[in-house]
Amino acid sequence: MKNIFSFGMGFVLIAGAFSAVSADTLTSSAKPPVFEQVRDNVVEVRTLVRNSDTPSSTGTGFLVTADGVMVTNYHVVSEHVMEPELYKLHYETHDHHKGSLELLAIDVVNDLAIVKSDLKPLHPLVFSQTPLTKGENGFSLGYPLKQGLTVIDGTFNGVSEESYLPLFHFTSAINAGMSGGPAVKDDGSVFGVNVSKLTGGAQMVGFLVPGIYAQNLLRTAQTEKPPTDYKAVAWRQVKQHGKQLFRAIQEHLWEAQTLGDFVVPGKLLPAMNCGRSVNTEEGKSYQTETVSCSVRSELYLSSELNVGFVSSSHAVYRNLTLNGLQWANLMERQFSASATGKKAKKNYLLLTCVDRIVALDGFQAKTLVCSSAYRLDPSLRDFGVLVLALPDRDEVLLSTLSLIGVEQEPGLALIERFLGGLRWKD
Amino acid sequence: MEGLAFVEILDRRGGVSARHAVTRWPCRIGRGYAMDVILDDPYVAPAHAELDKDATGSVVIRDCGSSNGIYRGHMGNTMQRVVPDRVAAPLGGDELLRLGHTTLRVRSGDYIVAPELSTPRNNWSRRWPAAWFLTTFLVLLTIAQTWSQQSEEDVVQILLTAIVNFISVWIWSGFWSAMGILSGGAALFPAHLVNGCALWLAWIMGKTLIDAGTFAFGIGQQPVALYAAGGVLLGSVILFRHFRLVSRLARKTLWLAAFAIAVSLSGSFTVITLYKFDRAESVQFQSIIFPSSMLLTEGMSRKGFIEEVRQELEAPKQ
Repeated sequence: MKNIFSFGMGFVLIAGAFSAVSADTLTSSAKPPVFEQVRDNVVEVRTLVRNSDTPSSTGTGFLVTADGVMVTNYHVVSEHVMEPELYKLHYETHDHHKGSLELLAIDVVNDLAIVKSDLKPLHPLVFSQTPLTKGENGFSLGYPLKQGLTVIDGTFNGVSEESYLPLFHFTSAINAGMSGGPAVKDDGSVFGVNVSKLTGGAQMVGFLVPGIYAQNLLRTAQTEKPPTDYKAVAWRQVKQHGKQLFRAIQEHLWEAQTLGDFVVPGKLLPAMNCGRSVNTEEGKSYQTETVSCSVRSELYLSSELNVGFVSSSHAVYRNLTLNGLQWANLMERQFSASATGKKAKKNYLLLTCVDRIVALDGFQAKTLVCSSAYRLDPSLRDFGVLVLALPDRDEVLLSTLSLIGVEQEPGLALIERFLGGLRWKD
Repeated sequence: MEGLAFVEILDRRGGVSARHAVTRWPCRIGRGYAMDVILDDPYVAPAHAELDKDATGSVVIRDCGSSNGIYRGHMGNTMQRVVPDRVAAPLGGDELLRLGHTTLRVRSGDYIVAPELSTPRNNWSRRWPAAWFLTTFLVLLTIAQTWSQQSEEDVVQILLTAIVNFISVWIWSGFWSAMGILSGGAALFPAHLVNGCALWLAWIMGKTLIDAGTFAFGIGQQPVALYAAGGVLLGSVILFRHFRLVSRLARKTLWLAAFAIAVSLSGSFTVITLYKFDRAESVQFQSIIFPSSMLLTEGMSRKGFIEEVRQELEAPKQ
């Protein structure tokens, strides 16, 4: 008896050790029921080069219908959308079953896509009908960094306050490759879609597309005929987003803020994030005080095109020790340095620039506006604006404004209003 | 020197290296020691040619049976072979004769020469004081330029720039001096140094004037055409002055050569600049900044500026 007991215990331990080293990794909190429930519905989505079947990029998708329809991110399938003749879509399950995917619908604004596979899941994932509450736990699944199917737990923190587009803030270690994967509750229902994480040193700051948008897109895919030209659909959505964004900016009452002896526009939108910095390095011949603002509203169209966002900055330079000639030359270098920027000829038409001395409120300024239209849709443009107060005084303002993916007239109207918001305090 | 005529042996640059008086007719020319004019050229036959007067009193030449022949013609034209044993046309005073590898010219005793050139009272531009003065001025100007562009004092950078500029203008001048020596003339280094410094100074001052002028009148965009025209003008003048020190070719020829080179260089610069403008990633604006006290025009209104941008965006592009 004693021998049988020992043998049984040993078997359990060994079985436990084997399951710990399987290709599917369990989380630190080890919730087997959720993982077991959903893993058959989560696949790796691959973009392959047509001629060679070489993987170009990978992400994750999850099955939501019994006939193999999946949800993933738009950016996971963007190469296929922009160059369908060069790229195709494939999937691979956790147990290495492979097949091709067909695109059914895209939502560039919310970074979502619906694709069809040949899989027939018995229990596809369902969307949650009840919202999470802040602080509630959930799980993200996906295929990060060639590590196989991975589940990571995290904490739901509500809607992100710093994004123009509606995103859930989810504190978890979402990594590259997990994009398009589901974020699920304890009961396995989907409440969000993995989309991105904050970079620049931030850790454990992830974002999810709310599940409601995936449901809406799924409904569209199930009721409407698939488009023949997804690239045109993508551009249409981008244009619509841009129209809404720039209209919202134009309709918003811009708060003015003081910067040195100047008054400048502050946030152009409530969702805009601004940061202020002062550079007072000892021994330097001048000081700078800078305010930079941007709104996280950009849409990923392709690896070379992020469209539909706005940023502005204002910097005041204070002369401490330079003479008139040195001060003017310094401002000239700041102007030239701020005006550089490359536009790939592949995506843009000819750059056009106009620079003049413009009489603004209380001062004269060297004002430069450069613009180039998108090759795929010339009605959309990028604008770059640079304004430098002439160095008549020991305090000079240098302001910039970037409008990415805007139509000509709304763009010009915004620029004119921006210039009107710059003022010298008497 | 008295003579019925003169046989002149010319060097490569067309100058007279030796002159022989003809004291009797016929005058025999060749490499042999029995000749009246002995040419020390292995390609000249021992008895190569004979000069004589015809019935009209004009000087004619006859080939005495040389294997390399005699060629005649004027500078810049194709030379024609003198047919042996046939009476040739009379020789002109500026006509050249080619015997072997030697060039000759025959002039009669009553040939009228051009009046003398007037010597400049003071060739100051070819002398070391002028060269040192301009070099020093150039170095000081570039020091001032470098200093005015610094926001943090960097003496090393200022000195380095001055040294590099100094060496550059000396290398430029050295090149032209070498050309002068290779063409059989003198080095004239100080004169070339004066030219080189003048070119650099003229370019700096010209560019400053153009920059100030375009700013003062509120003109945007780089005035590529102005820079190109200025480059041609300046380049032509300075290259001509260098060529004059190096070559004795006619002034018209030297002007044409200088202009052609200046146009090529300036044209290449213009094409490269305009090609850069044609690329979507280039920027094409005027970045010159001065205080508003240097403006000669009023700044544009906001509305006027936006309208100008609109027109530029809607203008048909090539």
